[in-house]
Formats: sequence, C-alpha cells, structure tokens
Amino acid sequence: MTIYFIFEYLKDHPFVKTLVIVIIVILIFVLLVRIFSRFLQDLDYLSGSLKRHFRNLFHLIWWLIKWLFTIIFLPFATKKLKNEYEDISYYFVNNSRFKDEINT
Amino acid sequence: MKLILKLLRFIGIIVCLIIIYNISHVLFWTVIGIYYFYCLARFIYYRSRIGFLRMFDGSINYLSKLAYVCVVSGNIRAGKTTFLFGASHLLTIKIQQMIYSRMAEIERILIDVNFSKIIDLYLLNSGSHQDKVNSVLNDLIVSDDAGNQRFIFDLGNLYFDHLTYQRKFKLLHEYLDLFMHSQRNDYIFSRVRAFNQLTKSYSLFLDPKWEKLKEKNDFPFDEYSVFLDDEKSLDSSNIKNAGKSEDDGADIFYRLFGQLFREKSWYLTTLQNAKRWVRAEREIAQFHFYVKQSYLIGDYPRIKRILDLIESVNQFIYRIVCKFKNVRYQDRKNLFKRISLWILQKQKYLTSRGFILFSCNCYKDIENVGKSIKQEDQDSENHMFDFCIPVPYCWGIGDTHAYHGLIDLLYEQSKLDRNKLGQVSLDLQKIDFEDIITKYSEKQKSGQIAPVKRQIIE
Repeated sequence: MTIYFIFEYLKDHPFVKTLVIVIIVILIFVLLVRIFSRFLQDLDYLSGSLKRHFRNLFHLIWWLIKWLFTIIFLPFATKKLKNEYEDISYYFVNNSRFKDEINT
Repeated sequence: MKLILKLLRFIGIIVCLIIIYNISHVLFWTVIGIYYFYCLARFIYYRSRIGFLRMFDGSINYLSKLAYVCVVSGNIRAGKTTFLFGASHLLTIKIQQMIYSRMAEIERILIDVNFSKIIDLYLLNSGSHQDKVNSVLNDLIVSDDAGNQRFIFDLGNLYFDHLTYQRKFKLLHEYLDLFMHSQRNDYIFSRVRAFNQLTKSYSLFLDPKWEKLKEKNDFPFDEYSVFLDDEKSLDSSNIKNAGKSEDDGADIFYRLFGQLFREKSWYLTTLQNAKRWVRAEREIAQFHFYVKQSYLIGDYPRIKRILDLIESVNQFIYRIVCKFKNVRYQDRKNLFKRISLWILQKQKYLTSRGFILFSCNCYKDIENVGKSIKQEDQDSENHMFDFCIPVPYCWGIGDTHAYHGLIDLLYEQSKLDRNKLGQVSLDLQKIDFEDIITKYSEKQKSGQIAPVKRQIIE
C-alpha cells in the first residue's frame, strides 16, 4: 500500500522536483546527525575567532556541495570510486592456489 | 573498438529507458530507483574497501620507515607469528616498490642507453649474475680508429646529482643488479616455512648460526631480503644453560645490519618476553612491537549472517525432505548438501577478502615493552599503531604450530599414557597441609628439596 502511494506521488511530480525533495531530506538527516554529534565541539566556537568560524562554515558548505554533487551524479561518483579502488587494491592479491597441495 | 561498444551499450540503455518511460511512468521510476540503489550499494562497498586499503598502505609505509631490526612480542596466541607473516608481505611490497622506483630513476638518468637491448643482452648470457653483468659491460666497450677503448651510450662519463659524482657505467651495473633482484621470487628467509602471496613462492631457509659472524659460517644472505626468525628465545635466550651467552659475533650482525645490506633488508623476530633475548643483541633492536590483540575486520559479517540464515532454512527443509525419502538419500550427494557447501565456500571467500587489525604498542626502549600507553602520552618513541593487513597475507601462510612436532618426541619419552591414567580418587586428592605451612628454607635444611639456582644473566 505504501509503495502504491509512493508511486502515485512520483507519477504526479516531475523528476527534478522529486529528486530535489529526496536530496533535501537526505541532507537534512545527515546534517542533523552531524550537528548533534559535534554539538559539544561547536560550543567551543564561542571562544574561537571569527576567522576560524568562517573557515569552519566554508568547510561545511564545501562538504554540502560535494555530497550534493555526489548524490546527483551517483553513477559517475561510483565509477570514479571504482577506478580509485582498482588502483589502490593493486597489492591485494590472493595467490593461495599456487600453494603446495600438502602445505604443512 | 572497446569505446564504440561502450557507447553503443550506453545508447541502448537510453533507448530502453525512453521506451519504458512511454509505456509506464511507474515502471520507469522503479527501474531508475533500483539502479540508484545498486549504485549506492556499490558506492558504500568501494568506500569501505578503500578505507581498509588506505590503512593497509599506511601500515606498509609505517613499518618500512621505522626500523630495520624489529622485535615482535606479546602474549601467548596474541598473533605474533601471524603478524610476522603479514609484516613479511608488507616489506616484500616495499622492496618491490624500492626496486622499481630506483630502476625508473636510473632510466631517467641514463637517457642515451637502450635498456631493452641491455636487458636482452643480460638474459642471453648464462652463468652467475656477476658473469652476466661483466659480459654485458664488455659488450658495451668499443675500440675507435686510434685503438682507444671507450663505452658506448655515453657510459664513460660522470653523472653529478648536485651532491656527488657517480660513474654512469656503475649506475648501469646497479640497474642490472636491480633487474636481477626484480626477477627474484625469494625475498623471505625464514626458519618456519612461509608462503609469499606476492611472489607465489615459499621462503628460503634461515639458520641462526649464519648470523654468528665470528664462527666463520656460511653467509648466504643478500640485499632486498626480509629475515623472519620465529621464537628467538629458543636459540638466543639469556637464561643460563638454556641458550647461548658466548661471544659468537651475532651481535655484530645486528649492529651492522643496516650497513651490511645498505638499508635494503629487514630483520623481524618474535619473543614472548623481549627481555629474555641476550642483552648484547636485544639492545641493538631498533623497535619493539607488542601485539595486544588481533581482530578480523572487513569480512562482511552481515552478509555472512544472511548466509547463515539461508543455511538454517536449507537444513530445515532438508530434515523435512529426509523424512519422506528413503534412508540412502542422506548418504548420497544431493541438492541440499550442494547448497550447504556453496554457502560455506561463499563464507570462506568473504573471510579471505577481509583484513586483520593488529592492535600494537610500539616502543623504542626495551625497558618500556609491555607497559600500557595512554592516548595523550603518545610520542615518537612510545605510541600505539594499528596494522591493517589482508587476511591472505596472514592466515595459511606458514605453520603457526611449527613446534607441534615436539609432542611426538615427548610421547616417545613418556611412560604414561592418557588411557592408562585412572580417575582422581580420594586418596590422590589428599592434600599435605603440613607441607603448605613449612618454610622453604626449612625444607632445604631437612633435605626435602634440593637447592635450585636459576641464574639470569642481564
């Protein structure tokens, strides 16, 4: 039943609008987790300088933009990550088939 | 061709999506949703794997830059020998990286040299490595019209690196040495037989007496090697009459280790207590790793649990089916047994894709070995480090119970057998309470026990 309503909802909405809603929901969820986990750390902002505050803000905005693009272009981000994985896993080999049949 | 095929596949997917969109909007969004879910799953998979692999890469750099003579100690069954096997792989990777990076550097310096021709010449010759190198270098000498001999490829000149001068033909000699080392599949010397996943070969034998330089023994070691000496206390303990304490020159081997192998080899040994190694040798050890615990990570425990669930369902159905089949059905190979084996193999495969996290304390000074280190008290000399090593590099590499063979000898010496032992009777259980409250010195005076001296040389 729930799936039916989701389909009905998706049918009446254009793709871009739906995608934006989904992204905003995900971002709000992630942001909430992030803010609450760093709540105690953020209290220290009051004693910090304005410059430091802006720098942290810049990093937060940069983080948001990065993940926004990652979610929108998820297939491409996955492809990029796969290439990185193939490069870094060069030394992860399992040649146990070449062991002697009676090993020990 | 490959690019065209990829392009065609991409166009095909787009066309299919347009057709689906025209047939049913709901179906279209369902397909897109499933695809995004698939991408998300892959994204999470690669991110987690990259995290572990970065830790693995960090372990290689940390271990290879830290020290050349290291001692691994820890509690019984904490994972010392397993760590030793894992570390041998980390250092093999480092050796290969060192060889290929230096070869590439020499290729950049000697721009006149045709290296493919040099390698062909080297491989065409036979004999020992030195004969081959001499033969190649002789082939590169030509005589001019005046009868003067000179090197071709501008090898007679010098190379200046803004610090020192180097002869170019010496660099070529080094290149051929490196090429020989790159073709080796025996970087590991070990007393316990150990497999190397990177070279697909077993280790060479290491005899501790070869380290005793004053005894004029053989010396079959070479540069670009890793020496693994499991249970050092068996041949070099400081407990009197249990090991050795003579002047055999082994300490010189460790003292000059860096210079002997030009900082291109590593020596790793395991001990249950680092202070039981003779003082002259243990003081030279540059770093001590104390293995606290080892964990298996990145082996997909949730997927394993799902497979366990499938297996339990499989067994449940199998038991019901067996009731309706004849007795022989259970003895034969059947569908349920095949499914069970398939699940087991998948679980084993997932384990082999995992990593082992060795939680270690690292000490510079032997006096601190075993002491706990607080998070805030960490410095370059005493700190904690988690080595992340793939499972195939640690498990099944060698026999971690190599000394299990000793039990056969003990059985031969023993007159008692487990089957001949009787159950504990009340007479056997009788406790001598008088003995408990008698002083040790009084027992020695009365001759109940002989005086025992267990001298420890510091």
